Amino acid sequence: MIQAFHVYKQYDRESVALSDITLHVEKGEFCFLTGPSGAGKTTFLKLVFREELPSQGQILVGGRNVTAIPEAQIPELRRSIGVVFQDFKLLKRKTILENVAFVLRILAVPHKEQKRRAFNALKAVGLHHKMHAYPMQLSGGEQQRVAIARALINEPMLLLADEPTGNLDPGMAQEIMTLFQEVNARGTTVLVATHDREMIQRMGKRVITIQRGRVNE
Amino acid sequence: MPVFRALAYFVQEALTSLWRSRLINALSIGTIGVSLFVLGAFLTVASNLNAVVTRWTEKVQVTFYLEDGLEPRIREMLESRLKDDPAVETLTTISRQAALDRFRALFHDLRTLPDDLAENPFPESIEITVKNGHQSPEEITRFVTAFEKSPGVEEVQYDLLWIQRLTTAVRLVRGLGGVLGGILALASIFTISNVIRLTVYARQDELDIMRLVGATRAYVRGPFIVEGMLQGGLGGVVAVALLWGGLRFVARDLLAASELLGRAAIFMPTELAFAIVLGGMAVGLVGSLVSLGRSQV
Ligand SMILES: Nc1ncnc2c1ncn2[C@@H]1O[C@H](COP(=O)(O)OP(=O)(O)O)[C@@H](O)[C@H]1O
Ligand SMILES: [Mg+2]
Repeated sequence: MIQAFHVYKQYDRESVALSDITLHVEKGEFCFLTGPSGAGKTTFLKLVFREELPSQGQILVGGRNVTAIPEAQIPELRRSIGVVFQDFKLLKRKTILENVAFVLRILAVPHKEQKRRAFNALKAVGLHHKMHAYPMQLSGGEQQRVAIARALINEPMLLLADEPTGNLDPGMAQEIMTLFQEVNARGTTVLVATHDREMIQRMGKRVITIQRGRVNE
Repeated sequence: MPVFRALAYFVQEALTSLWRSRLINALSIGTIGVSLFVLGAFLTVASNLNAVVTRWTEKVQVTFYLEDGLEPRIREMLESRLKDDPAVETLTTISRQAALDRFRALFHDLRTLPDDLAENPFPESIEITVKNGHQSPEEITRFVTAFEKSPGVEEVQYDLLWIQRLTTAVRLVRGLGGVLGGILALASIFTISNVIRLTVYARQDELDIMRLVGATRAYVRGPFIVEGMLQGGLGGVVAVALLWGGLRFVARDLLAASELLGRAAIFMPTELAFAIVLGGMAVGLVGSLVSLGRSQV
């Protein structure tokens, strides 16, 4: 599903965020990307859904070279990938129901179906009773769950989650991991960036470690 | 269907955004409104003047004053040559007595004046009305030149000069309106593009998020384009309302008071009203495209 070949990323001249990353994530796999803060986990995820371009190297997602696709095809790529952003990235002027439904809205899904599926997605993360609230009225953990609901609503072929349990208490974190496992069982490839060692051990999945921008498997 | 749904979304978002920052939007709508009003006012004056010119040219009259004591034979020759000219619609010969009678009928208070002069001061004349299609200044000039040197013709009188002056005035008003309107339209585009740019800046985060979850550039830009067009269109409506009110004021309070033009009904062409609103939308479209072109969205 993800094939990275000798990927380098340099944001500015002084520092290198990623250096000679070569890694593969198989279709249907569930694996963790870990490493200390500043290691380059977020940067790698950004390269996968083409928020950033690598300075060197190639990345293939679902067989497509995302480093070479034209600008016009980026939306299509992103629609096939669910992303849970580290900083949630919710639309603050829209209710959380509208936030989750937005993904379907840009696909021109009929209005009623948007609502129904968005409601179900919120229900899966236990927030359906707050669907008319705005992001700012929710706690960090609740916003994170909204971000998770949005990432999952369209059953993406690939789920990228950047520290998805960082703001959750252990009980809720475990629930979210169970949710990810269910999604994975339905065929979605899952890549979770986290530095939560305890959770990684509990899950017993494959772990890719990056340290100072290099893979250390 | 998806296209319709996207458009509905654009309009909904645009309306929400217009309402959310209604103060600054009122400012830009007002600017456009005033600009289009000025342009529209010039065009209205031009088309009203034009209507006057048309009405006048419809009854263009050329009068040939004949020499004193002219032989009837020469007059009849002139009449038959005139009748053969393609520009002539009707031909009426006015005798000296008939001219005097007409003067007395028209100017009641002055009816004794010719008597004081002891002799009828009016010459004999031939009055020509010009056919439709021969009323252009060029054609009338041709006609008059062909006959003014004919035997028996003392003097020719016609309205051409006035028609030319009015036609020039119409062109001037229209040109002035065009130039001024053009400048103001540019100012409007500038205003709209800046207002839209402020909105884009204020919402840059949201737009980035939309792009990150897979919205196309067109989808993210759509609401702003619609917003610009709505601003422009509303500006157009403001301009039409101002024009309509202004015309009513002019027609009722100014023209009714002066007998001079009282009968010449002042009007605003319907096409002009539509053109102003559409023009406003075009200005808005250009304005939002300019601001989006410069932005990161
Ligand atoms: N937009 C950016 N501009 C400049 N440097 C950046 C940017 N994003 C990340 N970095 C740098 O790249 C390195 C990796 O960051 P990041 O990928 O966020 O690490 P992680 O997610 O593992 O904590 C860090 O040194 C960080 O400061
Ligand atoms: Mg990170």
